[in-house]
Amino acid sequence: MEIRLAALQEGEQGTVLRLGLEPDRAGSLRRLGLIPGTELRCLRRSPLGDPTVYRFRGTDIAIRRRDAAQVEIRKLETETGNLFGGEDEWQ
Amino acid sequence: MAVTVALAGNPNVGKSTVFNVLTGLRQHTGNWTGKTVGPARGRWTLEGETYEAVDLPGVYSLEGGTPEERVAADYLDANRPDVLVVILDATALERTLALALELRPRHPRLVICLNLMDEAERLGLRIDCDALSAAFDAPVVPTRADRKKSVEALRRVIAVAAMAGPARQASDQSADGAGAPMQMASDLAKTVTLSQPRSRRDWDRLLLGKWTAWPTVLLLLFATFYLTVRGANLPSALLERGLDRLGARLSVLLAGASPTVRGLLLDGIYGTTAKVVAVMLPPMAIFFPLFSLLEDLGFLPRAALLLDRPFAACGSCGRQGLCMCMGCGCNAVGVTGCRIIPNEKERLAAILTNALVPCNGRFPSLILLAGILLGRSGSLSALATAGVLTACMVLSGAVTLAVTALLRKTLLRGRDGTFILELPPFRRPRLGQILVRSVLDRTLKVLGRAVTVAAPAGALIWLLGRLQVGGEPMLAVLARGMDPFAALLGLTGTLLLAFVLSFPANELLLPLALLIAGTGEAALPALLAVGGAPARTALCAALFTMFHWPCSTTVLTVWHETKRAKWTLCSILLPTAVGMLLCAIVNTVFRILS
Repeated sequence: MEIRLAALQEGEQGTVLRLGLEPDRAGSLRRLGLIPGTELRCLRRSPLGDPTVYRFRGTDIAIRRRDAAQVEIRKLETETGNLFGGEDEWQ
Repeated sequence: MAVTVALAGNPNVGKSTVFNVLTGLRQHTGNWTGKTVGPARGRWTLEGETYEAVDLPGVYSLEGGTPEERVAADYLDANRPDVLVVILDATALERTLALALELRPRHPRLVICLNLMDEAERLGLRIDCDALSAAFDAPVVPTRADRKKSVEALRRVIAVAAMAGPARQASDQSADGAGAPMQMASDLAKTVTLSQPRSRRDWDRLLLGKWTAWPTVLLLLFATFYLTVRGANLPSALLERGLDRLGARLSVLLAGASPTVRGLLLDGIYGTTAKVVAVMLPPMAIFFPLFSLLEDLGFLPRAALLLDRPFAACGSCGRQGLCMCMGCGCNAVGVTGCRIIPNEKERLAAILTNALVPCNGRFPSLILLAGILLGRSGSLSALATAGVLTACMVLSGAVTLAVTALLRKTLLRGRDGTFILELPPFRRPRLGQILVRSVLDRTLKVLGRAVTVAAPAGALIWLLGRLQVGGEPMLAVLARGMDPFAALLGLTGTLLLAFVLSFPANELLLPLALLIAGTGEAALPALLAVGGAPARTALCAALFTMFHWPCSTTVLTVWHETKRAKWTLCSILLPTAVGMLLCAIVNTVFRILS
């Protein structure tokens, strides 16, 4: 399923398809390794709901919702071996 | 001629630590991204040869356009160092390898330093150094930042690499697109990783948990203040007694000198300096190590993350919270720290508002005033004091947010920056290093600065105190002249004059007020009672202590960082206006109520 990164819930995983950001913002994400094909996991939202911490390429990176809303990803549907809790969401 | 060595690496791979051990320098390190802003230099000798190292700013790549990347890329192009050391984080190979792969074709004599091996071992992570070395066709040195020996090995490998001459021709092919090194890094990391790491204990569950985050932050803030205040009481008293005794000795030594010379040296210079040292040194010697500990643990980026939402609402970002934390130690440090904010207007807003955070030098005054305000002269319990300071920080945070929002809507209007922050893993702090670094680098530096300012200021104020105008001390005349204006702010002329004269160093505030009034320490409550309402005066004095012009060092730093008279002036006027406004409001409310 293709969704925006911002729509990824805590514990869910996905693969980056496209960074739809303005060039300079896309640049700072690309430098950190967020490029098409990168697999990532949504770790947790900050207590106030924004930003959100994602893990990719072995590091945790916080990204604001506004930027994450511009990134298109393919959500990984089945969550096997999920580190983050039991409740899988079947929707 | 010295062999030139450049150190490159991602942010947050312990690069500064390796550089420090290599060169014996004390560049400040911290567990967060963007700590090293300009390139630092240092040297060492090995077997008669001198090596000169440059610590490049931490970057993820050389292709992008950030200031750090330009500095690093320009340096490598212009200087062609003899040896290029690329520092990798053994616990985050996949990420840190990308830069190494990008640099590989650009430099013939590469040394790979696999840092944080201690951390990797603790996680049960094993890495095939031989395979890594083969992949790069370059030596790989595993280092443990906490062990000097491993860095000595690095020195020897650098020496060998330097002697190798221009053997290998750097292949001229540049990486095809940003994606390529990333993918290669990912593949290579998989190949050389022999065993997967155990997952780390997830402290973020606590620190970033929905219900636990804010209480934890407040508790840590409170605990830091509590330990500082509690721990500083006794050494402060001892130091004061010791310095008094030393003063008595000096007085005997100077018995033959004229009264003017004695007064200038003893009461003016020595008295003021001793006061500043006794009041400042113990809390600093405790506060700075504690702060470094939080820094080393990786707590600060978490705090920035927590604070991002409110700061974003005010047109800034969570990194400003970090600059405020630094300002808590010393505003000049905080202003310099604003370099970590990439957006220019957000950075300016952070610089201009930094002095709204009370620095270490203002704590003693705040503590004394709070004691009087709460009805206990002098001896407030450490617990209550820590509570007062925590409350001060919360208030200062709120005011900073409000002023930042105002700035971003008026003087500094512009596009919102972004906030993308790497959260480094929690690392076991290196206690010995923390102590040495924070005492040597920060405490002594700040203390030295305060003393160099306090000594001449003490002399000047003593002289001013001796000057007579129409049979009255000039300071008293000046203070009286300020009375009407001070009354509008709920202060007294003496206090306001002390604020003005303590421009060189905030620590001087209360000692100066007492000097102007010509009374001793015990007379502070009397000093505040002059206006007729001690509680009102104490509250206004406390507010004005928190919000007024920054000290001279901070103003100079703002000039240095902005290079604009306009912004430097703004950094003085803005907090002053805030303080005057708040004091006037409190004063008016008090007058209406009574």
